[in-house]
Amino acid sequence: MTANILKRLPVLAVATVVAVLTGQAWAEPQEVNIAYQTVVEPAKVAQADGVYEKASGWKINWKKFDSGADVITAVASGDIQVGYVGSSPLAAAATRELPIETILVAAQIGQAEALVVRNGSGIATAQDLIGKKIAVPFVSTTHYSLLAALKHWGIPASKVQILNLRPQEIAAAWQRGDIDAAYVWDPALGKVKESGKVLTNSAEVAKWGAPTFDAWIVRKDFAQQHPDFVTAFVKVTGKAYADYRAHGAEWKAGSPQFEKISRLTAAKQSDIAELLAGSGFPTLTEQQQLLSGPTVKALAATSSFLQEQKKVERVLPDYQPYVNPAFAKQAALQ
Amino acid sequence: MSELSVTFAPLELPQDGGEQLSSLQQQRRAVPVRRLSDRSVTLLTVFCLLGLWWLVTASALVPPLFLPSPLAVLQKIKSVALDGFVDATLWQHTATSVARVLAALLLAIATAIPIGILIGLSNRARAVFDPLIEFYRPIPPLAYLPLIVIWFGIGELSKVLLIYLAIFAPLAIATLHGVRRVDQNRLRAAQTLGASRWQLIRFVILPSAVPDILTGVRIGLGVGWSTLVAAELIAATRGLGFMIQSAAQFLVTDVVIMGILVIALIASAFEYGLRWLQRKYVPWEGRT
Repeated sequence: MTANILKRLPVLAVATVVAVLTGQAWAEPQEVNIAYQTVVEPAKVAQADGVYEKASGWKINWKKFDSGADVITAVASGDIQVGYVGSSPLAAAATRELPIETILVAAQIGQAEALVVRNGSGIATAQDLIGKKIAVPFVSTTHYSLLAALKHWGIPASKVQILNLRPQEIAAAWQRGDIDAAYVWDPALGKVKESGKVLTNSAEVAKWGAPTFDAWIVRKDFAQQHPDFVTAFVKVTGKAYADYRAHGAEWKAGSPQFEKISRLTAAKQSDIAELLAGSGFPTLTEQQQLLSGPTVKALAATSSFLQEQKKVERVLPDYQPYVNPAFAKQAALQ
Repeated sequence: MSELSVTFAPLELPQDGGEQLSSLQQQRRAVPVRRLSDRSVTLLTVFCLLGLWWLVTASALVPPLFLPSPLAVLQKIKSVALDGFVDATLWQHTATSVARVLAALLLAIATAIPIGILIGLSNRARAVFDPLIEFYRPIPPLAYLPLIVIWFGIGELSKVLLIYLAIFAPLAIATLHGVRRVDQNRLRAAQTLGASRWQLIRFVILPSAVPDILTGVRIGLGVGWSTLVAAELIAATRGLGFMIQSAAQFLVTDVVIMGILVIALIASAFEYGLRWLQRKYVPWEGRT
């Protein structure tokens, strides 16, 4: 009897291990890595409250990034499945045929990104920028907006010194007086505004024919394997935007919403209302319309401009494969 | 339990065994053994790696976005050399980076060697400098990069300073070891002949420490080149590190690989140059 049990012991051990592992796999929620940025937008409230996790049933690892270019690199590596990027890095990534698709227009950028000139830099008008040092994070929406603004003013990019600095470095260089101007977003924007004046912003640049937007992107392979998660993600984000548009007036400094946004973005609560007002947050119904045509056109236009500026070598004949309105459509129906 | 018995048969040599062995040795001497030289092995390794790279890309195992073909990189070298990338040609990027590394190296030589000698000769100096060097030496340059930007701005000084700090520690430590290794008999002999402290340093200590100093320069340069990319994060408009970063941000992988290869080639040229200097001026080093 004992000998019989001993003979079967290895089989029993293997069976136990398999059972335990299977049980764990069954019990543990699936995991996803999401790249977010410190941009002030209403969905940060849902992120802080863990609404995405509750709605999807997934374990979400939120990873903070300082620029869209870094997000794109992480998405390319496969370590990040969903990411928040600006239209400029998105266009660059699509042009390089990265297997991604835009699932949501997160924000139509307006006053949330601005070109600020330092007090005492001797810049009063756009033409005064010639020969001056302008800091901008390369491959960002602000980089694109700056180049578009210079083109609008008839200033060749070679006539100014465009420096590649990350947002946190812009704030440090600004305090030292090493740069004359910066085109950036919050929290760095708030810091530079303290001792500078806004020369233009992305709302104005959009009117000149170079609109910029932020978007949520997903790896194509992940979207195909887990459409339910992507739909849930889009639905939560859309609901957060709708909530802001319906009750945004009640969101004030000291409110739980502003406290949560401030915690995730490091923006001052006193600046959040203005920053939220500086961008447009499309509802799920609007998303379907935006993702069906305008976003594709905007990506093509951005890519053409980047090619003109010798930032990318070529432009794709069609950017439709990099935009997918299906998830917004599905989320709106639920 | 059965007993295990092992018997060893005596080794039987043929009667004319000695003659046979000697003829075997003669045969071996007559046929020259074809051995590959070290240089050939190096070249073979390089060609094998290039072949593997070509094979992986040609068979489309990896998308070009992740690994472009050697041919694509070669074409990119040509286009960047002629037309440029991010508003500068390959030569301009290279010249800028080489200038930064050389400036940092010269600055390190001018300061690390005297400080290394001082630490080696004086316990008081060692008490002052040793904790400082050992404190910052293990810290990666990227960690104190924000402080350098805040303290020294975004100009050339910050870039050169970051590379300088990377080179300084290994060079100072190598110099210190060189000084500590000086033969005491030579020192006493020079003192007996009435050599002053300065003469001891100039004619005994420094020549004896040269092999270690050159090794320190070699290590320092290696670290310096590896710090270049971090240094060129600071608002650069030119340089190989800046070129690599800009390319990476736009996912232009062929330029990234090209930049890496150029840095590797230049760093290797510096390394082989220093080895040649070592062979020429300290030929006794490493020989018994």
